[in-house]
Amino acid sequence: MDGNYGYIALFLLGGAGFVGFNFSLASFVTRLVQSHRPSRTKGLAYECGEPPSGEAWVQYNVRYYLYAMLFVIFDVEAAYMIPWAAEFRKLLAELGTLVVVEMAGFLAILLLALCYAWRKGALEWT
Amino acid sequence: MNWSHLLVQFTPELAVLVTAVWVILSDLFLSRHPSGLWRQCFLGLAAATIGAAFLYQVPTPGVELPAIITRVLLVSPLTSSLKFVVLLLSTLAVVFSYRSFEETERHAGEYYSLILFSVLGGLLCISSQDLVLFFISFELLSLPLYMLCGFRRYNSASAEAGLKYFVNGALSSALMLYGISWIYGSLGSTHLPTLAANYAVVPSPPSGFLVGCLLVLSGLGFKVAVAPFHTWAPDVYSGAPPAVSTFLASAPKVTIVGFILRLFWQSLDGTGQFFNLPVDWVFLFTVLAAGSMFVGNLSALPQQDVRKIFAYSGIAQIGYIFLGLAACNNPHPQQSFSAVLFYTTVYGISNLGAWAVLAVLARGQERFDLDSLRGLHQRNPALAACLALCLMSLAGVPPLSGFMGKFYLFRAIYESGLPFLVVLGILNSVISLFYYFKVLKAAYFVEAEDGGTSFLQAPSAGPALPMVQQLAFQLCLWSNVVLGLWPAVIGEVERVASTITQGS
Amino acid sequence: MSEAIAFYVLSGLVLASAWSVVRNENLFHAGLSLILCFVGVAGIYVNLDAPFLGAMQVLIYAGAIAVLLLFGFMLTHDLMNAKQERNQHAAGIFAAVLMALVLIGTIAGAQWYGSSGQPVKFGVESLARRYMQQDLVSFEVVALLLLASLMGAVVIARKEEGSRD
Repeated sequence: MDGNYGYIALFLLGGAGFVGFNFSLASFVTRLVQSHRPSRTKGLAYECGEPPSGEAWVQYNVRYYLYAMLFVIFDVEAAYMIPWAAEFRKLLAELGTLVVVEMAGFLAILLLALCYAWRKGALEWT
Repeated sequence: MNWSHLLVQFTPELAVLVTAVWVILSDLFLSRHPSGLWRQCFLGLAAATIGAAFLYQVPTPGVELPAIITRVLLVSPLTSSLKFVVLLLSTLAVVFSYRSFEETERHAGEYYSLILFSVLGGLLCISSQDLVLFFISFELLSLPLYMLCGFRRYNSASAEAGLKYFVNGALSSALMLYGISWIYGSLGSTHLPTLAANYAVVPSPPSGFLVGCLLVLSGLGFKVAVAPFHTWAPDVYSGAPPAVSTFLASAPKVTIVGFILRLFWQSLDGTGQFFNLPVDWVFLFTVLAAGSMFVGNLSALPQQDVRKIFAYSGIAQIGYIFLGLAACNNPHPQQSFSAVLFYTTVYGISNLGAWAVLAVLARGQERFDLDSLRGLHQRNPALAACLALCLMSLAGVPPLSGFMGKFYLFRAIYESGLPFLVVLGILNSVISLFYYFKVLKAAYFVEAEDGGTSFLQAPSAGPALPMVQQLAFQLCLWSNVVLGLWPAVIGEVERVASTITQGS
Repeated sequence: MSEAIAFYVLSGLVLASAWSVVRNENLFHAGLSLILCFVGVAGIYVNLDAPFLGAMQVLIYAGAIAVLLLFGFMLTHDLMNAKQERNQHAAGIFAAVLMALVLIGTIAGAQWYGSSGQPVKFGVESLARRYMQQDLVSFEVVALLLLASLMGAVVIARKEEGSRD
């Protein structure tokens, strides 16, 4: 492992420690000074807020799912394109046009996928 | 590099790919008429089948293909013949799915292009020389099948079939991928010839390799529904649209059996080392085989739903094939290879024919119990004859091809010194006669009720089948007679089988 | 040394969150634990000197797949009140323990191919080279797989008016 990742671990630890320390400090101090007298009125929505009705759990529209699915597919595509793009010059010098042809084929198929989603109306919010 | 020779060598794959893309494009931009899309799909697959037949006939020209391709895709007599069989079965399945259910009106483009993708995945599976390519093409074979099973998503049985198949398929893929990673870790490669070479030089058999092979085998076992991994099959086959089951029950199974032969016998055992691993392979395959034969045959007995009977019969038939694979573990496996190949082919065609009768009859109706077959021979003698011959062939009635297949299979098993397995196989064949004849009795010996609810009264189920479908039924029907009795066929199978262990 | 510490910390994180995925009664919380599990696996990749793989793990699994999973929960009607009908804990535990014993036993005695103790350099460059050479066909097949899954997603998930079977 490169040393640089140690800093990331330190950052993570520092961040978690900062939050944890302040949080526990705050709750400790609150517990010292608070007076605990709950009542029904205090639990109501504040001033002009509406009292909630129904459950917090609502059924989402299936459109979100389709968008998430499209996102995943083109996200996975990125995973294949990034290494190619990062090493493009080196590979081009070494392997010639094969590199371009191959990615062209890959992109053509995914273009067909995009075309399909567009023509079938999967990109429309209706 | 000879890219033009490469195009020639992989004509079937390219034809299927081009057809799939063309079906999508014409669905998107030209016409959405289902019969037009069906025609394109059918013509493309037929062309690919003819191409595969030619490639099988004409020996590989002695030209150097680009190494970058031949490293991962093998062309050998075994792969060419398997490709031909798979393409033939897929073409027939597409023929039978014409107008088979209402949803194709709405999603015909998706339906046909998903089938084409699945076929392409199967073809790549058959010739893949690298476990990475194998896994990805295996996914390309399976993923469309999950969707096709759940294609009628407002029908709860179909949705259940799709979901069940998906969950089980995901588990099997995970097992297989995990097994591949074990194999890679133990032998340092995913390329099959490299694996075999590395295996020949390691001092002692790596135990991780064994775990990997077993995991891969169980992943493949899930896919062909062999006994401990079969639980999804009855619900999926009976819930999926019958036209999809027709495809599902034939081409993918031939693909996977072919790949099992290629992976374990042609590649890994190419050096004769593989089956020295500390596992009794004969015992392992026998347990799988006996389990699926008994589970399939005994569970099929009390069923009333024809689709469930066929699904359990499929499990039992895979058991016979695994029995043949158990007999392949000896120094001279050629005879067992040819028996397994022949039996798999025969099973594929007979099973396809039997399902196709259901797929065609099912139009517009949802009944699949035995009563719904009543009086089939009066209403449509051709369909009844196809059903009868296919079922009798599956049951192993002489002199049909199924009988010859079983005969070759049991002879090969007997001659590899496993007479006990022959007894098991014959016992199971006898059990299976009961339920195959139960279906036949319903179709032939029970008269149709007058004005009953028999789905044969649906208008589309009359004799007005399209010409292509009638021809396809005739093909299924006669193949049951011809394949077993025509000596050239078994000669070809033996020739292919003799090339398996000669290396690629 | 620091690598070993990082490995044990990350493995603990992965195991704890995976346990929470399996045992959590609240499905949504199980999904959130799964994200933590994915992040832990990404950390292990980074620890093994494969930062690109780690980044992709975060991008695809912790990002995309987890979002899809949580959307799936939220799309499902009344999922939170669903009750498991059959209790198969005993069989599940038996299978898991058996599998764990076999795998641990194998790992303990396994010989790995060509392990010389040197870490294998496997960066973006070797990945790109594999895509373009050895795995050329797989690379193209992946694109087809993505296309097929997109078509399936559209068929399965799109709402259609007037289509009741």
